[in-house]
Amino acid sequence: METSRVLIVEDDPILLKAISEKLKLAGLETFSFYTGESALEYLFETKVTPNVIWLDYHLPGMTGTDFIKRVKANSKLKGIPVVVISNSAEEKAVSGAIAAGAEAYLLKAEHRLEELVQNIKMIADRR
Amino acid sequence: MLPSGFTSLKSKIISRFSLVIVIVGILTVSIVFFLSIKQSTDQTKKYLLDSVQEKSYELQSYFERTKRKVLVYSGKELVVDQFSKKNYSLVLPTLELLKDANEYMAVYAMDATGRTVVSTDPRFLDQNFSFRSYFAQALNGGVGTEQNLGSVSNELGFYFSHAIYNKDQKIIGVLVIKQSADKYVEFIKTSHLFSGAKPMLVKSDGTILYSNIDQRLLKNLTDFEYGKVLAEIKSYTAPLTIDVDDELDKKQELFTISRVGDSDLFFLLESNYDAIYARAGSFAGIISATVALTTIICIIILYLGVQKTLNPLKQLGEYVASLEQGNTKSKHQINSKDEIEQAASLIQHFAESINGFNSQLEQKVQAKTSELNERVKELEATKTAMVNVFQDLDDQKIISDIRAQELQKFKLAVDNASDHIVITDANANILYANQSVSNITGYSRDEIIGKTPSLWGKQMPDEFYKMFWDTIKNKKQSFAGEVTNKRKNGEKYVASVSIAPVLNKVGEVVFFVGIERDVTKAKEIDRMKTEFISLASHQLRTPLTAIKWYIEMLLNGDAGKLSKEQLAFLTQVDESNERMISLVNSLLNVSRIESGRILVEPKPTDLKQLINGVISEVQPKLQQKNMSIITDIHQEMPLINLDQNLVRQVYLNLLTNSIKYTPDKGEIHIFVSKRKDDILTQISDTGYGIPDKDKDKVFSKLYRGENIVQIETDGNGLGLYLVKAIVESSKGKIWFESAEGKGTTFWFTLPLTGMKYKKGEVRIDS
Repeated sequence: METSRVLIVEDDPILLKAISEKLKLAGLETFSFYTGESALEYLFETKVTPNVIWLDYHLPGMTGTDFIKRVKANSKLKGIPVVVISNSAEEKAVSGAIAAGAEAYLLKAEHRLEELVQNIKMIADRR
Repeated sequence: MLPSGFTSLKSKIISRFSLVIVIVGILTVSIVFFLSIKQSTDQTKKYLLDSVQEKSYELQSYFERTKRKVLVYSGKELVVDQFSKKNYSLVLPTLELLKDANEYMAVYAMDATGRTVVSTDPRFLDQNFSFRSYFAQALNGGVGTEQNLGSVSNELGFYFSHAIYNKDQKIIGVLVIKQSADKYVEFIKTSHLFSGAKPMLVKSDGTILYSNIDQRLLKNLTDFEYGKVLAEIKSYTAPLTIDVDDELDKKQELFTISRVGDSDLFFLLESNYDAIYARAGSFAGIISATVALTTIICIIILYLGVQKTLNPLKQLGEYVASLEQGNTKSKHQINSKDEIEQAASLIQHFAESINGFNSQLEQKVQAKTSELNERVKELEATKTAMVNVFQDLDDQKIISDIRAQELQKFKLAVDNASDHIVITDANANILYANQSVSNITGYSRDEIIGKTPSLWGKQMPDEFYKMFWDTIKNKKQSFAGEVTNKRKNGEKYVASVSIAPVLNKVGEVVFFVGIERDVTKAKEIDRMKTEFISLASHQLRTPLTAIKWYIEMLLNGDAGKLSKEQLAFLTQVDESNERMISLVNSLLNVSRIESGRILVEPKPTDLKQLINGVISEVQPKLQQKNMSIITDIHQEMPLINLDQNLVRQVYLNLLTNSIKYTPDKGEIHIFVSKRKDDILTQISDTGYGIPDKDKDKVFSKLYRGENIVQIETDGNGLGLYLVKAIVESSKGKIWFESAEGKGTTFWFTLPLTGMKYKKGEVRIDS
């Protein structure tokens, strides 16, 4: 079975390292980006399509909603499930992301990393 | 009683008739006066003429008598005999007798030569008077007459002569009687014809033989410019009067002329017209006076007559007045036997009728009077009561004054309140605005009064104002909310407004009282606070999450197996970190609740399921403390529209508290019952309880009971505050009972109708 790929967009490098490490420990291939722009650029310009996208909401220069809309607007990418994992519980963020097509919206501080990783793995492995 | 300008009937009659009488009298007097003068003058003339004529006759007869005397005596036998014998001295006694008997001046006789041979006046003896015309006349036969000054006596005399004839009818002498002119005119002198009249005896040639004015004597009429009179004499036929203008004194005079017999003498009477007029005037005056007197008498008679006629009328007036004064039984005393008496009798009869009526009335009045006396007593009592009331009113006035002072203070307070306060009439026209209105809107009070608050409003959608007016005017309810307004300088601001209608007794809107507070700054601060919290939460949570996850990986052995001790220490770090995360979450929730930005998203909820979910969530903690939980939930609980996240917070917080503040092996009871309108939840524990002195602070933010701070360090004092905020925002109630050392019971209700959807910006974090 092919290794599932997770594209991570997280502007906090410490968190990004923890997430990336944990996902790798769980046997997933990760592609890490600090900004939405760089992640989108990668997605649009490479033939690599991740099985799932781990998306922080508040990103430099754009929101998770913006990011999802860009992904969903691309026919090649629109099938990729996007899970928003953020510390922001703002209604605008939650409803915006869900409306744009997010698979789920999870709060970081409320979950153990293990839980989140298992959730992501499960979604990624569905394919 | 008398009308103004009252004039008695008597005065009217007398004054009017008197006027007529006086006018007639004056006319009569005038006519009579002038007629009388004319009549009197004419009569005087006629009288003068008659008188003068009469006197002329008298004079003539006087002459005639003397003529007869001279004729008789010249023919006397003795005279003739003695003359014939030239025995003249014997004649003298006869002549003396004649003279004395007739008071002649002298009687004498001349011989045929004219020599005086015998005379009663001795001075004449031997005087020859043959030159005298009377001598010549006597010689010619008949009686000679002459009026002349005596050549010896130089006195005016009237001479009468007659020849003495002898038996042969031969003239032997002439007898002469000299009569004094005074004698002739004596009657004139003593005449009472009238004073001032000047009698004259004038010869036909104009010689004035007699006048009572000496200067005229023996002068001619022409000497006094009476030529006109002389002309009349010369053409005399009958007695006449003639008007002469006296050239000397410029007065008109009247001359009355009459011839004395057929002699050469004329009797003249010169009368002054002034005297005539005066006499006539006095006569006319007497007549006029008589007429005037008659007039006055007429007026007096009229006065008396009217007085007598009208007196009954006056009596009638007095009688009526006495009736009016209440002497209704008096009888009239009028006895005029006319209409007045008739009227008085009728009035008397009428008064008697009234009297009869009055006596009936009097009885009634007496009855009423006694009634009135009763009423007066009652009124006295009322008056006393009123006096008491007035005293009370005085007291009330003092109270009113105090109130007015208080009202003044109140006005000062309102005037200077920092909130914008406006009072409008029912049509929103501004009647009052305090200083803050000007400060906030930028319009002066003068610009505001009489306008409507739309002066600074009109910034909201039309629907808002429609709803707003419907609330305050039609539903007559207060309105509270936030409104965007616009200052005079165009700057928009947000105001928190509260408008209340003031109703009168019948429930009509009389005024609106509006209070506005400019919350622009507060809003701005709030926005900044929210932004800060949002930012802070994000910024705090990120490192907390990093700590959480790395601890987790360490504990999981991702970085290699940890020693037992390392594991224990790291667990402590993990717990502290979890508390930190919880605290941040709670702070966020509180700030969200407070800012009202929380989203309420009700969904049909099975409460039993929700509660069981919460119990299972806290299960590890229960087990940890070896505690038991008993639940009793209403069997037929319906699905209720609830925001599960919020309600979960309520149950979670209350249960967590119970677990936290109950010693090990304690019990927790949860009872949920369905009531008529709501769901009542009771959560009891056997914990430490809440000290009495802290009970009123239980729901305060950041409060933690003094007794549990040492026992249980975990806790941030935000849980119950959040619970109360959620319950009350859901139209529910929350309360508790607690005894220190025995336990605590919380109750809260949620309406069966559930929660209302509310748009918001954030959800509650767990």
